Amino acid sequence: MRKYNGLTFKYLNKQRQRTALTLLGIILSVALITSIGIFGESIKHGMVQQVLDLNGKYHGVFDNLDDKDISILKKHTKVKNVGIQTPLGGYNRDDSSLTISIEGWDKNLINMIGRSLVKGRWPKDNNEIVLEGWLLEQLNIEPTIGNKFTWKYDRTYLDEEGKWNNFESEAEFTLVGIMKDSPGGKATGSSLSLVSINTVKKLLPKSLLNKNVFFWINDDYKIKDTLNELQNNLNIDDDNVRANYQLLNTLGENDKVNFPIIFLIIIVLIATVGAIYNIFHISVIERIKEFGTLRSIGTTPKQIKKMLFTEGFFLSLISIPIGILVGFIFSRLLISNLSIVNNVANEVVVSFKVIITSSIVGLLAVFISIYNPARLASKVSPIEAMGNDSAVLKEGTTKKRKWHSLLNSLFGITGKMAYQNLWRNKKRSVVTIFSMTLGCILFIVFSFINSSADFDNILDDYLHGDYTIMVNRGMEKYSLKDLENINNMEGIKEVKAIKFRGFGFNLMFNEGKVNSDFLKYYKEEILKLPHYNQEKKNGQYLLESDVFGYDDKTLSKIDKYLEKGNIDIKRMKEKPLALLINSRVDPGYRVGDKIKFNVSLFDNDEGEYIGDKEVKLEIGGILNFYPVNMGTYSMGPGIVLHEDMFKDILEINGYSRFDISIEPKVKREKIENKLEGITNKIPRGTFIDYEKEKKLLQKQKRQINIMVISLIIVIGLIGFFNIVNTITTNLIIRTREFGMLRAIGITNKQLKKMVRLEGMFYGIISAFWGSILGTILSYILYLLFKQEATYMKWSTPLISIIGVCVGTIIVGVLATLIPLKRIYSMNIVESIRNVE
Amino acid sequence: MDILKSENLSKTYGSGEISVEALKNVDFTVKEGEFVAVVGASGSGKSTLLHLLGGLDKPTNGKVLINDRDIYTLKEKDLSIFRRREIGFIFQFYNLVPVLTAKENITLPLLLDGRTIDKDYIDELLSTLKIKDRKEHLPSALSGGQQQRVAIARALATKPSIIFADEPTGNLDSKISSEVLDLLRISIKKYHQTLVMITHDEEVAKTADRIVTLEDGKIISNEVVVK
Repeated sequence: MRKYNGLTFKYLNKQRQRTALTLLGIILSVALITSIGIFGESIKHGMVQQVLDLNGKYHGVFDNLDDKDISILKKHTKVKNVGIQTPLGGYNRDDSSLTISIEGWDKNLINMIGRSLVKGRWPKDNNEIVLEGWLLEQLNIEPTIGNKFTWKYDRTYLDEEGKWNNFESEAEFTLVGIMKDSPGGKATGSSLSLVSINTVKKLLPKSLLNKNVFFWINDDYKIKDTLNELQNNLNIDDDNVRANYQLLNTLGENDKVNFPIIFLIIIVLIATVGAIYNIFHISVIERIKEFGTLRSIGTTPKQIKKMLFTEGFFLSLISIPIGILVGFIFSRLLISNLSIVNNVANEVVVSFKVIITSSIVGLLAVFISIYNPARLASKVSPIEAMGNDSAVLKEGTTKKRKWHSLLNSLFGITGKMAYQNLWRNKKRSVVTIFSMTLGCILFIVFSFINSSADFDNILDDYLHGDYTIMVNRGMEKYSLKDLENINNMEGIKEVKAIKFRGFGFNLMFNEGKVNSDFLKYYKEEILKLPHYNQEKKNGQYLLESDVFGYDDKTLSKIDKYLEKGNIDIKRMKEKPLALLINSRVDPGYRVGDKIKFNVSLFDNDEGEYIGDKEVKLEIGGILNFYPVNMGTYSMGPGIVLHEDMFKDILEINGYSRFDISIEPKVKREKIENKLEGITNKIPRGTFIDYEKEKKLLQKQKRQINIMVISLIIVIGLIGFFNIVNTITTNLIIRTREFGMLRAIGITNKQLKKMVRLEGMFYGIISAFWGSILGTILSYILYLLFKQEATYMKWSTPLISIIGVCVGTIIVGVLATLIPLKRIYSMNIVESIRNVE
Repeated sequence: MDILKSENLSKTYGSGEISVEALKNVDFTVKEGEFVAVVGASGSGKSTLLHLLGGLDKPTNGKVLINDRDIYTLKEKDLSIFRRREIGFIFQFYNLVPVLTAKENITLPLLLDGRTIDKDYIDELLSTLKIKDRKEHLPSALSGGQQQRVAIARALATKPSIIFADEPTGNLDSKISSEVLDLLRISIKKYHQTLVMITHDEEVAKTADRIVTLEDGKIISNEVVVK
């Protein structure tokens, strides 16, 4: 030992068990922080990847750029990648059930958006074209490379006078490749066909040629700032700028603070510091006598402090890297095992930031934790420390007499002693209870989030069941017979039938009767749309609205979207009572208002126009969301009627959509075949199977569950660690007391009871506070998220509270096992002599 | 009648070269109602003897008979119960439970035994030891002398047949020491108890009925005090 500091290492070496425990505590805490970091980063990375896969790899688009600006953008140091899009127009067919746009893309854009070929190659020149596989099928085009076909195409444009015009032409195209289907393309009936930019140049008059530029900003720059900077430099109108908001939001570029994550991190930090603090505190207490000796031979308080800090630093040096490694392995195991099919986080992302943060936090936690014990150790008076340790560690006593007599009668004298022992060192007990309480709060809050995210409800919101049969264009509808056939199929749980007429009503309104914002929106946005009927009818403005006819089942399940008024199914059945869906600009109608519509009527069989009529509807309620998405939206407010009233007004018998739920564990294939048979009765009918989506949701839910459970386990472990340490510390200080108790004849059983009760009380107190705070917090979360997550429902989380109580009591009692063993192994005489 | 008897009592700490023979074949008897003082230099084996006699430690060899019962044949649990019923201990550092009041400390052995408390007896003890007005205080609010009187009351609370005291006044000044000792003597006379006490103080030893002197783990003298 060359320096007095050598003592530190001698101690660490001698007290191997304690050293190992301390290391373990730090490792666990650092691992926890690291895994949370890695998890967060990986999930964010996964989500970004998902958005990139879906929308393409671009931060924004500048529309209508000239070649000069394009070349500036291409050469800009802050721009990494530029892709060019030149629209040709839409494929003009007589049948309007599909929207097919033809565009010229350069190679860069194809790569950025991430389109890929199933067959053939990308178009180069000479009217070469690449189509999506499903479109070929739909249009009955042979999927053979080299196949030629002639398409009419059209393009609407604003002329110099500001009027909408249409350019029409046709060309022969040669199929040179087949693209992978874009997700959702078939369901919405929209498809993209690609040609080369040169083909567009050839087929469009020069005046109609425009180039939209997709760009990706260099990773080193702030995206939003750079976007604004580029816009200003190139002097581009706001109208011609489209930022990829979904990507920016996912990247966290939207300045929103993620409170739940910050909250989580704070909790973890507190629990971590608490755990490490406890470990050092106990190790100092164990050595109080040693410090007394050191002080008596002239060690200064500063030297003692220095020794302890050296110890902390040394321990950190070993444990922090291991902790980071453990955290890495832990999160890697979780991520790779859980997301084989899941695409939330399919890659483990370890950033330098996470490693540095974990290290600093770990080191800080250690130093904060040492500070107090070091002060305590340096203050030890030599005589007191060597003579009587309880004199050094001044112990408070409590005077809650009422509790005591209750405990006395419940658990006997041992119970009372156990409870009072809890408060002998308030600070330490508070730290322990706090860390356990945090575990309880986390458990209650997360189980609330989990249970409130009711799976069936989410499915209802997004998927509407297991299958959907839908026809959203044209006049054809499914019949009542079809509905009955589905209902009569084996294994069907429920069918919800929806009647629909896109653009079915024309809202009639006067200037004075609507909001000024709405009027502005109407005049500036809607009236300027190409082909929009600008004529007034009977002196009133007209605005197209989608009309839905819901059945009783659907109407009874849309309460959650109701903003105002109520859904009176009985009255809706008999009276022209409607629900209004405000999804764009609020026209300002109120519940009870009566509004007029112009309705065009068509023949049910042939679809021929019969004539117009006017109807007056009373608004029964206002919804904030389209409960059933038909894939098309008119510009006006949506109207929901009861199916009977829908039939009366529009004289439409058929259905446009069936949402079908099946019983669990039935043979899907048989049902699917039958349902597809029904779907195909109408050529434009779409059959959607939600099995994959459902599985994906289930998987995501499971992954979140496992993540949350692991988090609770680790925090629980730290809490457990804390109680073990606290109880051990309490017992070490009381060694002599135990010796005396045994001398006056306490049996091992009674001693065990007392110590166990002590552990149990920690559990009970933690469960008490944890339950109260957890319940309050879950309610606050509910209030915060109610708006966004309409499926959330709150009730007192009784089951979690019971779980928390049982869990903490078990943890509390388990935590006494190790210290108890230590007491048993101690001889009475040794315990008494220990200090005398 | 012999209430306490040790035969061939030996205790060795450690083993091999570093072993220390703290007690070597001690034969020792105490009669009922006797007050025996054990004296000897530091490390002579006084405390070891006391601990072994009181069933706090296990002897390496030999036995201890209390009321003709070999206490080391008892199971741990039975020995605990035997201790709390038959033996009272008084330590130098009082060893009170800091979270319990004086009265609770005194009744603790009875409560551990699940016995009903003989209130009159406890009140009498409190009065005899002059701590009646301090009974609701926590140990931290008591002086050293008062704490030791509480410890004595605790040792007497179960009406044990033997009381072992390990330098009960070692931590008190001389005036308070003699006061405490007087009270202890009065108490054991009053309740017909036997007392074995370790002391360093010759004056205190002289107040006993018999003085046993230890040296190197052996009894070197065993003299009746002539008063």
